[in-house]
Amino acid sequence: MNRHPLVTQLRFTRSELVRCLEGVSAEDAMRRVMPLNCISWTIGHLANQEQGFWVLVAQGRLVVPDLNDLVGYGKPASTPPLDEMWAAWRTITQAADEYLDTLTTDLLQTHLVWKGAPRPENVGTMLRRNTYHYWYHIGEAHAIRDMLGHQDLPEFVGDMSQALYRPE
Amino acid sequence: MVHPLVTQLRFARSEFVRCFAGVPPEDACRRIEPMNCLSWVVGHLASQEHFLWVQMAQGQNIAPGLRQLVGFGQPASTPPWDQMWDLWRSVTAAADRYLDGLTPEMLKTHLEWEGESLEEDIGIKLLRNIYHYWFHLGEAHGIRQALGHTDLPVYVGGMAEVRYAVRE
Repeated sequence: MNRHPLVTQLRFTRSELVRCLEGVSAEDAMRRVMPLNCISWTIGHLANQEQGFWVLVAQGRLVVPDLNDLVGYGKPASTPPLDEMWAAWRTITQAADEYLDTLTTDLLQTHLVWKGAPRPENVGTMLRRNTYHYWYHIGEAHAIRDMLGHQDLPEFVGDMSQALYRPE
Repeated sequence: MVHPLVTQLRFARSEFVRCFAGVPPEDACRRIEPMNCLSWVVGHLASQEHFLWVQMAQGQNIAPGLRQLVGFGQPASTPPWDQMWDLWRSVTAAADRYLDGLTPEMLKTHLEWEGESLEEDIGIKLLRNIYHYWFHLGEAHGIRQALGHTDLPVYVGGMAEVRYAVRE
């Protein structure tokens, strides 16, 4: 498959999130180091952005209803179960990939349409926003793990041999 | 014309600066153990840019001792806030003299260090540098929250000036 380089970078970034959170227990994932949100919230929050961008707006469907109310931007803090958030993340990223795998350089310069109006950012910019948003929360989650006393945490940025730079 | 990935690095830098606006110097040197302090983070990002884009790319050393102070794997330190920002500004200005000359062809080439070609090409190094900024930006945001700072900026910020466009 000739996947677009920016999609490859998003997939690499997702894998770095998974690597950051390996070994986190269900109990610790729901513990808040106030005033930060907990780790399970972070997973759901990132899933929620992917669903908003690549499933709802891009494909006109929802695969995990009510997620935005639980972990969306500006919503009250919540401490959702870790396994539920990983399940939501896996379901959503799989659905997102059905769209993302079709992206071309031409499509990245177009704008998705939501409720009859084009989104202000083109698809390529949204992809970068999504990728940076992951990295931001990977850093924050790493800090939370530090504060929870977790040891032997992974280093970032990791091995990029599967996410080589490719010009368009 | 500045390469789009360099523009993305500049955006990451600007978001990094935005994260630290209003931090009092005394808080910048406070550690929430086992994490490093905010001034260390600023120096650490300067250190990466210095090594990549000034030392390796240009053969200059404008920040002697910086790597020993805040480099990866070095003992923790709590360097002065103003000093780290001064270094960061000097290093990024020097880095830009190299980065502004990058072309798409150059991004597929490799920097050399001590007679050896680096395994990763310049394009990957740029991506790694960008993600490294975002990772530590999220970590620093978590530290600021834990320090009790309020009204913190929200990420990812406006990307109107760095929108996706073809020439990559």
